[in-house]
Amino acid sequence: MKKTFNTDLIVNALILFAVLAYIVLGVLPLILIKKSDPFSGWAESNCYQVSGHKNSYAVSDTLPYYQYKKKLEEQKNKRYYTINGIQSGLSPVSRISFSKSQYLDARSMMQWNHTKLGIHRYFIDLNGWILNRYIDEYKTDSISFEVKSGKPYLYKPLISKLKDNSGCQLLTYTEEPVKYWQLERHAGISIPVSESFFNVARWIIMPVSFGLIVYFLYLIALFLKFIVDVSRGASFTNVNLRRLLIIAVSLLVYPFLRFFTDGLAWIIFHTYFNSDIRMAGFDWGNASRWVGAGLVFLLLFKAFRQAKKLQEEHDLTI
Amino acid sequence: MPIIVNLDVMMAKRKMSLTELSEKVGITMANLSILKTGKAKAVRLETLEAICRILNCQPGDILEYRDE
Repeated sequence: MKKTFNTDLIVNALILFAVLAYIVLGVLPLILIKKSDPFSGWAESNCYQVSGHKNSYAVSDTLPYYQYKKKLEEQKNKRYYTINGIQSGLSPVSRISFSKSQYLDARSMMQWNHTKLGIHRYFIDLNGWILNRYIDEYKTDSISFEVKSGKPYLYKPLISKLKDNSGCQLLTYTEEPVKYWQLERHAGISIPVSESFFNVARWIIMPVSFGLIVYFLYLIALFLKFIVDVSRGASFTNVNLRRLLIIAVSLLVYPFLRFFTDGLAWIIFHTYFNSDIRMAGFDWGNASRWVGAGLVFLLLFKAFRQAKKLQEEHDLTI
Repeated sequence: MPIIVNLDVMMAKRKMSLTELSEKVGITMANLSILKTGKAKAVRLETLEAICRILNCQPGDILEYRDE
């Protein structure tokens, strides 16, 4: 069978863009993080092991305002790098992605100028599962993720009444060890895995994510070609009908595919989960946008199919 | 379709070619060919009138209903 390549300019330009974006966002950071340390100058003077959660930054409120802001910012940065490290990995375009972090704790700092650059941790990121946070009546975050001595914890507020019958309440925090991490790079949770598992998983996740990006760009290309054809007057053709049907079905199927992928993630990693995690994927607000867009394209398809029938009749009227 | 177009029969009776008829009726050869081969979905009354006038016949001589 003779193979033919697609020579369409729009399709090829979009696919080239996808390949470049994938290399820049997905592959390059994984290679570069081993060799360079872009944050080293800043990190050497600022980063060290920080414990405690974000509601208890140790900054004295007696400091002048600008010094207070500066100290607070430093604490926030230290917290960020304690929890997140210096990260690389595939941007979370798909429901399951992966990331690798380089942690700058005290030990890493000592080794910074030597061959070993910090502690590497490997994660499978589940973008469809998030912490079940809410803001309570005291305007405090219900739960927050923190790292203490390199171990992940959830800090939960505990409100208890004082024993002196004054009616006052005491807000304290309990820490609960968890098996997952909640990196600030994305909303989802991250499952720590071994290096070998990470290396196997990323060769499965990478092509799937790449395929997804290419497919979305292909849909955009279909839509652009549809517009170009309509503007040239070739509106009611079989090719245009096929394009509209592909776009409509893809948009309608996508939210269900996300739901299925999140379910698959739960089946694989449910032993890491606890009751503080909820699914983020199938909230109606998010899914309705995809379904709504899909229905618009489905209606367009129906209208164009009817128009094509009428045009054929018109063309065969002598 | 159970409507049969007998245009070729009438043209043969009048000894008229497709080119000549298309020139006299004022429609293209391609459209006349679609009509003759029975691929047309509809015929305008003005087209039918012109064909009948040139071939000196009735619409029933050109169109025939045959139950399938």
